[in-house]
Amino acid sequence: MKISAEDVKSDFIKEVEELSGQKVLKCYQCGKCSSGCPMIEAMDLLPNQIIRLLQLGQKEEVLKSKAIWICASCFTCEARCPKGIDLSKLMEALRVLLLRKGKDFIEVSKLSEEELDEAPQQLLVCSSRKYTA
Amino acid sequence: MQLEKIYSLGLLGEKMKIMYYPGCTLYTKAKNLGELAKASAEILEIELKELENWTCCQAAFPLVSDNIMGLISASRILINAEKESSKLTTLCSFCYNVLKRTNHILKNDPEKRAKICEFLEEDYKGDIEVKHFLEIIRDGVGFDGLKEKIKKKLDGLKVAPYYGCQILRPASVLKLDDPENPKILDDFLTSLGCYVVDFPFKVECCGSYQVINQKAKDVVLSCSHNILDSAEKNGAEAIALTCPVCYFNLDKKQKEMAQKFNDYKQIPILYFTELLGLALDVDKKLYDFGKHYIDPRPLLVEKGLIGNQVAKNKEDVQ
Repeated sequence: MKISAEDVKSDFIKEVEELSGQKVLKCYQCGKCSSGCPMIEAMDLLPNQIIRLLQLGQKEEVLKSKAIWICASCFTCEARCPKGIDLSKLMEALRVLLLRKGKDFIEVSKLSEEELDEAPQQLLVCSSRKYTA
Repeated sequence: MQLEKIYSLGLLGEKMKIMYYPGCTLYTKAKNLGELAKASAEILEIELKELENWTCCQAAFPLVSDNIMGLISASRILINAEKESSKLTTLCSFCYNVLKRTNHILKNDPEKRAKICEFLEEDYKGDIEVKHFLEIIRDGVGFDGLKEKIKKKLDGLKVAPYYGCQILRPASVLKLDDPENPKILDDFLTSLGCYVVDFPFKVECCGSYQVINQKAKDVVLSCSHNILDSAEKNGAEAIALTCPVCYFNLDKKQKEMAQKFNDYKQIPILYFTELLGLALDVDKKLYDFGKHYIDPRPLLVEKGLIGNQVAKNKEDVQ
């Protein structure tokens, strides 16, 4: 990975910080978020790695990661972060940057009939709010 | 005694009216959660008044700072409720999370409040108190008060309290209980006479709405299975919870768990209000046991909590 001064000082970090209301440089990489994350098995990057890449302005790396779509916004990391960072807000900021380009992450029409029949409504509303533009 | 307590206990001759926001599932998928809460509230002398013309709360609290539109429908609910009472209660964990967090913003962020109020053409300062139904019981009726109203102690029923995520976190805003070691559901179950089973997964996420994300489905199933497995290994015969999404993942998904995990053992999942209703002896006709994937009736008959006749009506109910 190539890290340049431009990346570290880039507007991308400011944009994410503004959207999320979180300061990425507060993180000192203790890893508590990753050790308690229930969804970790399906993630390609660990939550603390997402923050590290953000600190280094690695826009492409974080935006292409699957992890941001796997986060379930359960706020376990928020409850445990010794620096008071709400990582779920950073994850949402990254998703929003992609969704606002107009591309959906899921297609509601592709959900199975069983899911549409049995899933409680808030589950479907949540998913469309989190995954569609 | 606090004035609030006096009112809600009806000692001054008038009960405090609390606005009730059901939310999308309470008349459909999570009927047992809503109907039994309403019937129990009556016995506990809590006056619930359903909010008129309520809409969806939008289910997911918007986590980015510029998403003001995502706060609009929850704001409208709060504003309409405040016109009738100083308290708003809800049962679903998602609704509770969204309404309480939105109200926190309306109360503490003047810039956003101004934008929202201007858009809705209303004047609102965030004064309503959003309380989960469990909080109304804890802080209004009191768990001791609840004990006195019980007609049938749920003696011998070993229940694991499962909290999940949306009702507890972020604790700095919700302030319902400790996010890592909550007691409210434990104490509630104790006052019903249950044997409360402590287990390490009570605040772990079940995987939530990720259950319909193809790339996360398997993890959600194993998260949910871990919760059931841990409760069962610690001696629970049933799990009590508050959230319709957790209910879907923990009850309905047992069908898939049975195929996927060799050590799977079935365990009934009950809404906390179903247990409350049993203890207060509400009309069994209000129960729709057919909504459960894992039928809790054999367990409830074994413990003497429902009669054989109720259990036999299975076909009628379904």
